[in-house]
Amino acid sequence: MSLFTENMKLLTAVVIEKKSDEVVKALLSIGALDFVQITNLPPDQLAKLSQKRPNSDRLAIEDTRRRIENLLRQSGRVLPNSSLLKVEDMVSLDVKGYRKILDEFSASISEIKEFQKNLNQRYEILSEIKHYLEIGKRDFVDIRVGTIKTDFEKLSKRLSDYGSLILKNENYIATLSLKRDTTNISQILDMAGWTESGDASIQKQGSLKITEELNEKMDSILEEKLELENSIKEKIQAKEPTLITIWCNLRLHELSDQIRSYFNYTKNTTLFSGWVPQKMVQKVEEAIYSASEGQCIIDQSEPSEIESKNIPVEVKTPKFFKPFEKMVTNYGIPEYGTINPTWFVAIAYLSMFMLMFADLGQGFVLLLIGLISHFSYKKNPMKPDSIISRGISVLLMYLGVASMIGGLVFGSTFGFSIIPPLWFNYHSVVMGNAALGTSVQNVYDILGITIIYGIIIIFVGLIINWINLIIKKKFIELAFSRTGLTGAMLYSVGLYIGYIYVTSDYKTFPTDNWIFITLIIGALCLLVKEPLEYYIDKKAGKKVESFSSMIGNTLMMWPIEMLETFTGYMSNTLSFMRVAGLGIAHVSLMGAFETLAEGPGMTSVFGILILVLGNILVIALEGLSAGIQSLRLNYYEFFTKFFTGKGIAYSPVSLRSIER
Amino acid sequence: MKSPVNTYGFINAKLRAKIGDIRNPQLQDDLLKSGSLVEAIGVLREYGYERAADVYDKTGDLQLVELSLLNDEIQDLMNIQKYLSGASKQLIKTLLTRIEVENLKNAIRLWYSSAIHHRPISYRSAYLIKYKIVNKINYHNIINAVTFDNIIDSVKGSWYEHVLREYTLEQIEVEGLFDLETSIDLKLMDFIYEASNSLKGDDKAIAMKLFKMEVDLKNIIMLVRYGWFHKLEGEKLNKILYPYSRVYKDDATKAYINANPKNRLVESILKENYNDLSDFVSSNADSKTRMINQIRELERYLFKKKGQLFENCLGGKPFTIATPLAYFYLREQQYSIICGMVGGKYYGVDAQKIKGLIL
Repeated sequence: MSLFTENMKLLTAVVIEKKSDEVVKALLSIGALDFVQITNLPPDQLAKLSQKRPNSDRLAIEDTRRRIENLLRQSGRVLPNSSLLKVEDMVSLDVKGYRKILDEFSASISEIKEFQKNLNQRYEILSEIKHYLEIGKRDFVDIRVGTIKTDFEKLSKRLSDYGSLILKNENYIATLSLKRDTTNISQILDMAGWTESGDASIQKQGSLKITEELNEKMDSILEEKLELENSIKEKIQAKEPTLITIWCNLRLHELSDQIRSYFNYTKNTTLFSGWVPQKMVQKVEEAIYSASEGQCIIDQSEPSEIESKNIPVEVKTPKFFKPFEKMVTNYGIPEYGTINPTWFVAIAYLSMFMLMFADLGQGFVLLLIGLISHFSYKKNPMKPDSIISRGISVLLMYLGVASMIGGLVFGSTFGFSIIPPLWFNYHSVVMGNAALGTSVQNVYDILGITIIYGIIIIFVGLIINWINLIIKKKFIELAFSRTGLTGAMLYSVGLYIGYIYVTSDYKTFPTDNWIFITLIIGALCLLVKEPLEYYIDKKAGKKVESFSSMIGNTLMMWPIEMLETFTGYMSNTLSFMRVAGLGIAHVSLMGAFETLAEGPGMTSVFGILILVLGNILVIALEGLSAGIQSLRLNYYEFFTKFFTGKGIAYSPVSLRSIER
Repeated sequence: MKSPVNTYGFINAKLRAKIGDIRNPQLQDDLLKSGSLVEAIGVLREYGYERAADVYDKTGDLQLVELSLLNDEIQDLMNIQKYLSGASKQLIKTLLTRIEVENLKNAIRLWYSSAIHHRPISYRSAYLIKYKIVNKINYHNIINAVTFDNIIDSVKGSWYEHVLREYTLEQIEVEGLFDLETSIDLKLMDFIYEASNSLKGDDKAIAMKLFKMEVDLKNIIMLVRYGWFHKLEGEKLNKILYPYSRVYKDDATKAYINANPKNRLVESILKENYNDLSDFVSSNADSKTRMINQIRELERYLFKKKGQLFENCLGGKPFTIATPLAYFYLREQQYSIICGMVGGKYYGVDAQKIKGLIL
């Protein structure tokens, strides 16, 4: 992983028009070109270029692709993705034909669905009857046992409109229906020449049999319903290869059209331009050359020729650091050519978490939760994200390990000091039982450590900023800004004042003359920054605001800048005390649970239960809190020193481009 | 007393996030573009309606899918109640009663169909909600009732009991359910009025504004539909109107009600109350179909107006009852739109036509 964002080059190519399709395929296959619209040609030349209408209706392609996805979703299978795409599989497009296939397939499923619906409605009636029998509402149910004079099948068919169940036996016929349909049922039975049996034993037997029949019928419908449900899934799965082939072709055409939308045409040639990471330039050039059979001209532009704010930024991060890259990109994209902060974020975030949530046992639990949820998602890729999302499950593994290391450093396992600490016993220090002779004796010492830790983080942020400013050649900002050398000078003076004040037992401030002089110089540096930039820009012929406006702005902004510098750095530094605060709270909570567990009258079972519950509570609440606070410290205390987030992300059109 | 920030800070932040999801037009767009009901269910699954999609997988029954969506809506709205207290909670509870009223009306209609008309209702009771939403109601007893007293017993202890006691089986057999249902609706509107009126400060102003707007719109629809299209007698028409707000109290409305049903000039009430509505309906409509189309257009316009008012509420003060009320409205609207769209897909209606009818 490079410490900086990747170097980029702008390629502009002219290829013979008849070879443009092959070039599109080659570019798609490599997937390294972040296309730009050609606008930097002289207007008369630009006027000669034309754009072609895409070969196909992109909206229709996308809609058809999404229709396939919706169908596949119904089979509970993993949706096709970019890993299946191969440029060589691309064939001519027939959206109408695909739609016809989908319509016919959907219609065939709808037929089964209709049957499934009817079956379910039948099941609903029977389950209503069964429900009434089970809750003793027999007055809602009508059971009849008797004989008929006409055809059984006919009677059975007529009764089915009412959801009635009918059973034929050697000696009798039994019917089971809802009392609310009595009027109609009686009419139907009368038409069939029904004679109710007067024999009590037959009545009893008939009632019993029809109730058994109800259960059997419901079981058989349930089985049939399940079979139908599976048959639909199987039907979709059987069609899956065809659907996936169509999906891939649609997706390939979608991407090709996306590439073509950046193409400009003359009568016989095609012109396009795009950004490529420097290490890919040769590969891309060779691909264009080969696809166009040498009938092309390729031109390279250096990034230095273009304003850096228009250059896309590729941040290369090894897989190991991916969760932290997300933290960076969630905030913003680094500017082109500046330092990629992912490394620093990874170290800062994990070390902060470690200091706030240091426990070997609880860290192991976090690691375990992370591992379990990660593999559960891997096993079931269709599973929707739960509270512990895919991203969080990976992060939990890192945090678990960090917490375990913290546990070893401070000798804490599930809140107990079982193992000797590598540095100092956090638990003993917080509880006021620190071993004599150790460097850390009380909570003030812990607070001091986190303040020093914060100062280091802030200075790392400032140094990154200085490097970035040197790269961007912003020397005025480097020298005179709040986050430049002036800011660092003022911050250092502030730290010195604070140090003297604390070491004098909070009684005296330093009175050295150089402090006053340095503060005056710092304030003046902040004041001259704006006029200096104005003067340089004006001299360079850049468009600037009016002089009076610049003076007005400077005088208005200066006091604010001063105030922000002094209060900002102080609050940023003190903000790191939360690292100690959460660490102390963590130990105190565990101590409280320990005391509760050992309290008078507490049996060992209850004691263990309290400790288990206490650990669960601390893992859930403190873990979450430490995670959020670490993120906050990174975003507000660290990033604000160097990270503008003004970069634009490098997003080449490739087979891996994310589909909507 | 809790401050507005304490009362609404958490719940409104939560609801605003959900409102963002509801407002996302992508779901509707994708539902419209789906080629069949099976695909539309796939879309629902993608947008987090897994429960409803699972119901379809297991039953193939669209009405059960709709019931599942309604269940989700009820649970969601019940959850809002938990975060509120006092008069605000009471108003939300009363609004939740609207869903219960529709469910109760459906249950009584099933009974009416079975007991009075002797038509089989067979599996249709499966489409009713049977659990307690706000009041304790025994829905099984209603659909299986032999006498009207059985129905009254099924709602015993709730306010519905007093409403139903004003009717007899004979009356219902002769006149149908229209009057009974109207009485329930009128009573519900009284409760909503009382609940809105018992709020304080900004909450009261917002709730009353929305209440009055809704009453006016409903009254206009009834005046047009029953007074103009069905030519209901003046006395009857007056009885079904909600006795609140501007339209009801207006002199033009009174004149319209008292006029000969055949000579009622629908423009008079529209012009007097909402001048922009008079474009939609003309008393000179020469056929029933044209009248129906005009009423449909008018209703669509009124619903749009209602939607706009709720949207405006969202742009107002952040810590008021406006957000829960707007969420209520948007949730109901979302439910209707989804049901309308999947229904359209089931019957193979063209996407453009569905769009025209629903959106």
